[in-house]
Order: sequence, then structure tokens, then C-alpha cells
Amino acid sequence: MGEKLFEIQNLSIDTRRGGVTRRIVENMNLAVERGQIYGLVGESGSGKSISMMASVGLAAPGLLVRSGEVSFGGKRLAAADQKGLRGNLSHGVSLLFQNAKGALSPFLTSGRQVERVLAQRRVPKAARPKEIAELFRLVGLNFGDLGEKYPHQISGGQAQRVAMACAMATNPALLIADEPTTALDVTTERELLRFLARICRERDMAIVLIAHNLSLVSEYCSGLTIMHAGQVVEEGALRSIFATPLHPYTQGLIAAVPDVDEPHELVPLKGSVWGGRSDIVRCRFSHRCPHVRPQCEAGLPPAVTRGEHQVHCVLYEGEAA
Amino acid sequence: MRLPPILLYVFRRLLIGLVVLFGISAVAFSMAYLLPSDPVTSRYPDITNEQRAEMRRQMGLDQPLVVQYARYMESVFRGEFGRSFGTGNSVGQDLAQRIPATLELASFGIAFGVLVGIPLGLLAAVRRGNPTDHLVRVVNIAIQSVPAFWLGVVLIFLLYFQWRLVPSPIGRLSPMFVSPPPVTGFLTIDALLAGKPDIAWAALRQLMLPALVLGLGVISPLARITRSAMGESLGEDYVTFGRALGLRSRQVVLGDAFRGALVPIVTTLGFVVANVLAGAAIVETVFAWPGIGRYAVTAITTSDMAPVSTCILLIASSVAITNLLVDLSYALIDPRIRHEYAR
Repeated sequence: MGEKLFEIQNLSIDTRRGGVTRRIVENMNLAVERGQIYGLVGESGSGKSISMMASVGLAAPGLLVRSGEVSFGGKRLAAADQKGLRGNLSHGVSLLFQNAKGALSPFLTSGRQVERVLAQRRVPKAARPKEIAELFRLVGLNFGDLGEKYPHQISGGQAQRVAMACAMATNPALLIADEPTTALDVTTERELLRFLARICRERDMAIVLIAHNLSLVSEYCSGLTIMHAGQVVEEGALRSIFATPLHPYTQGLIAAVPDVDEPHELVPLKGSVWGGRSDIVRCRFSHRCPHVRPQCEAGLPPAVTRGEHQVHCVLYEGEAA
Repeated sequence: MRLPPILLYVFRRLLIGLVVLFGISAVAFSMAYLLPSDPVTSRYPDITNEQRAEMRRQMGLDQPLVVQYARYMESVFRGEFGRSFGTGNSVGQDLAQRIPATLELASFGIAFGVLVGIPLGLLAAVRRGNPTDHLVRVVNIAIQSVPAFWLGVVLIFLLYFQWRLVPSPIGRLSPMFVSPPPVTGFLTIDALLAGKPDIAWAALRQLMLPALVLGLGVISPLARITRSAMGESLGEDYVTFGRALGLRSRQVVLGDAFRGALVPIVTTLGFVVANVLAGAAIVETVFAWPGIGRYAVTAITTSDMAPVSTCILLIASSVAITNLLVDLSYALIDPRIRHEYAR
């Protein structure tokens, strides 16, 4: 096991709308090692982005962070201390978003976007042009071509690379990439991820790759957490999870992924993430689960370790590992 | 040599503006004649019919409307804009004296409104849903529901009559002071240019109250649009990404989010400026301010046709120019619009 770089423990987040409080992230845990590419997978609305944003102090207004701790590079903070957590940004933690064009300021040229991050880091003015050109090269762009262009003048893939140059300008040890390729076409997607993986190796940077596409994650990640409706259902080494998926949700997700080498019948998952009763205690997959039992209503059981990963499911409770 | 596209755009807009103003001049001129009173009778109520006919002939009022309009337009192109029966001067001369007074009043009033309204809106947007937000809303409603003519009189009563905090409301400068040589037409600035800070201060003290009353009308619309536009732009991805990059909150909120909100804010400001010019008539009357608002009111009550139509023309052109400036400012604010214009 490598050194732990980033850890979320017992993170719980509520929303309140019209006087009704709902838990949208429940007791979430996640641990990323230095230099690791870690996947965080779940359907839309499962709380992946919300929990990661809260872990860096960018919880959307109106969200209530109820409990949890976040540690990064040995510094441990309460998750409710959003302001303190924001201190990690630009000091080792950086982010990439799904909508890169919207994430870049529409009022600045690509070069200026990167430059102001350097200015924030107090890089002297004279040293900036060289560093900007280098960052552009790092993300596979030519400063001469794109440096003077505004976000609306470049393509989505180029915009994501400029955003990446901005993120890399903070010299991060951890990059949280929130579905960075969703808005891109398939070839650009592959290219970008290959390239992310390369930077990761070269700079010893860890990545949390938020995705809803398991096949994408399976190619690049070594660790994996699967979330459903705000609950972590299975987590651990990717190899182990793919070899023996235990939670019915994981099994469902894998069954829904097409495989070119071993074609199998695709089985879509039934129901929706937040369907069923809205109370907090039950395993929130129970209304969609083919193996549902009465105990599921008692809540998500504690983790059971199997091989190199853990599962939260009553099917494995009390069984010897 | 090809002109830069933005200049071509300005040129086209000015040309269209001129055509529109020409139309407005015709409408304004005929409307001034629709006033149900006669400039001769209202000025000399006790004269005989022969005298009245002679007066009308001298003033050119016996001619058909088209001829009168042609004469007026001819005088417009000479820069005289007709002759005022009331002052005996050419309207151009009268306006040249009064426009700086109104401009100074309006500039200070709008500056005050902008400097209060936009920060109020920003505060409400950043503290959305908090007590600060609600307080701003209450202040806004209070300001908006107070009419200028009432507030002006009440403030004069309290601040001047009761407490002697401001000088008497008798125009731009108390007669104890000598006006500085005109350079910009703004007494405060001219006095400073002439090296007379005491006169600048005296002029500013005269200006404070009417500018405040005029500027109050600017606050609420600006604060409201700033709050809603900022509320929207603060939720934009580029604001979150800026924060994610560790940029300072001030840079993200005032740099990116405010710039993103600026287009609707400037649009509203354009409307508000037009309202201020119209509202100046009331404030100038209450504070005996020698500007075009009061000039127009006097002209209307005495059926003084040339000043009335010229004032309408003046307000119309200032609205047209404001709109042009607003449209041009979009290009400055947002590179996307700039590139749109350039096409």
C-alpha cells in the first residue's frame, strides 16, 4: 500500500427544500494514494460530484455538511469547515469540470486564464511567459495558436486542455476530474484520458476520476468506489471488483457495459437512483435490487472485506471472508 | 483603407439615429402646436384682436404649419433651434446656458445612484437569503416608494430650514460667490481648475441635495438588476472553476461574476439615464436649478413652441446616444459580443 494522500471519512451531506431534509450523501469514505488514479462511479445524481466538491470546500450554497473529515497531505480538517478546505485549492488540489468551455472565464484569452493562476501563485512576471508556454506544451497545445484566443473561439477538447493547463499551473498533487470527457467525442475522450494518465505518471499526481462510465474507469484506474444514491456500496481495488463484483448494483452496472471481447447480453438497470421511499435508513438500492430482503430496510450494513475490496450488502453479512 | 468594423457599426447607428431624430422633430413640432393654448394670448391676455393678429404675424404664427416647421428646421441647421418667446433668445443660446447645469446635476445624481445601487445589489447577491439580503430589499422598496417632489421638499425643510445643514436651494451657486470661468461647464470642476476650492465646495454643497434626490431613483432598479444578474453569474461554471483554481474570492466575484452580470446592469442603466433626464424637470423645479428640465416646464406652461420641441428633440437624442453607448459597451464587456459585431 502506498502513502495515503487524500482521505474522506464519514462525509454526510443534507439538502433542505421546503422544510424537508434529505440526506444526499451518507457516511461516505474514500482514500486515494499518492500518484494513484482512482475512479468514483455511479449514475447521475448519486452524489459523486457533490461529495467531491464538498471535500474541497466548494459545496453548493444550500447544502448542509453534517459530518465528516477530510485529510490531504497529512492535514486533517472537518468537512464542515468549507473555508478551511478551500485552502487546499491551489495548494496541491485542483479540479477539472465536465463543461470546460463554461468553466473558462469567457472574458479572458487562454493565455490570460493560465497567467492569472501563476500570478496567484506569485510567479514573477518575467518568468510567466516561459511557464505559460511550457504548460501549454504539457497539455499538448501550442501557445502561439491558442494563447490569444478566447474560450468561445476554441473547440471543447481544446478548452478542456486549456482548463487542464490552468489546473496544472497550481502544480497539484491531486486532480479531481469531474467527468472531464463527457462533453467530448469518443476519440477526444480517449486522447485526453491517455494524456491525463501520462501526466499522472510523470508528475506523481493522483487523480480522482468521477465518471458514470465503468469501461472508461476500468482502463485507467487502480482503485474504485461505487456510489448509489449517496451511499458507497462497494469500494477497493479495481481488479478485485471487476473479478468478483459483489453488490447487486455493481453487478448491474457491469452487466450494462458492452464488452467487445466477450459480448454478453446488456442488462439495463431498473428504476432510478432516487426512486422508492425517501427515508434515510434503508439501503437505497433496495427498491431496484433483484435480491432484496427484509433486512435491507434496516440500513446499509457495515463493510465486508472480500479479496482486495469491501462491499456493503446484507447478502454477505456474517459470511466468512 | 477599410474602416474597422466597430467604427462602421457606430457610423451606421449614427446615421439611423439622425433619420429617427428627423422624424421625432416633425412629431415634436406638431405636438407643440397641438397644445390648446395660444402663445400670444397666454403672454398678453389684455390686448385687442388687431394687436393679437399683428403679434401673430410678427411671430410667424400666421403661416401654415408646414412653413413654420420648415423655418424651424432651417433654424435648427443654423444651430439656433428657433426663438423662445419667453426669453427672447435663440433656443440654442438658452440651452447652451442650461445644458451644463442639468449635465452636472445628472452626472452627480447618476454617479451617486450607481455607487450606492450596484454595491447594494452585490451585497444582496453575495448574501442571498441572509438578513442582509432582506434588509437591502426593504431599503429598496422604501427608496422606490418615495416620490422625488415630496422628498425634495421635505429634505429642504429639514436640512435647510430646520437644521441649516445645507445652503438655501437657490440654484447652482450662492450669489455670494463669483462663478469660475467656464471650461467644462461643471461649476465644481471649473472652480477647481481655476484654483478656487472654496467655490468648488460651495457649488458642491448646492449640488448635493438635488443630486441625492435625483440619484435615489437610480438606486432601486440598479440594485435589483445587480442582485438578480449576479445571482445568475455566481452560479456559472467559470466562477466555480475560478474558485477551484484557488483564485481570490474578490477576483472571482468582482472580476468574472460581476463582468458576467454587467451586460444586463448596463442595459438597465441605459433605461435609468433616460428616466433621470425626464425626472430632472421635477428636481430642478423644486431646487430652482437653472437646467433644461425647468426650462422645458416653463416653456410648456407658456406655450413656447420652439423650446418645447427642441427639448423633446434633446431628450430623444440623448436617449438615442445613451442606447448607442450601451450597445457599444457590450462589446467592451464581452469579447463574444465584440466578435459578433466584428462580423
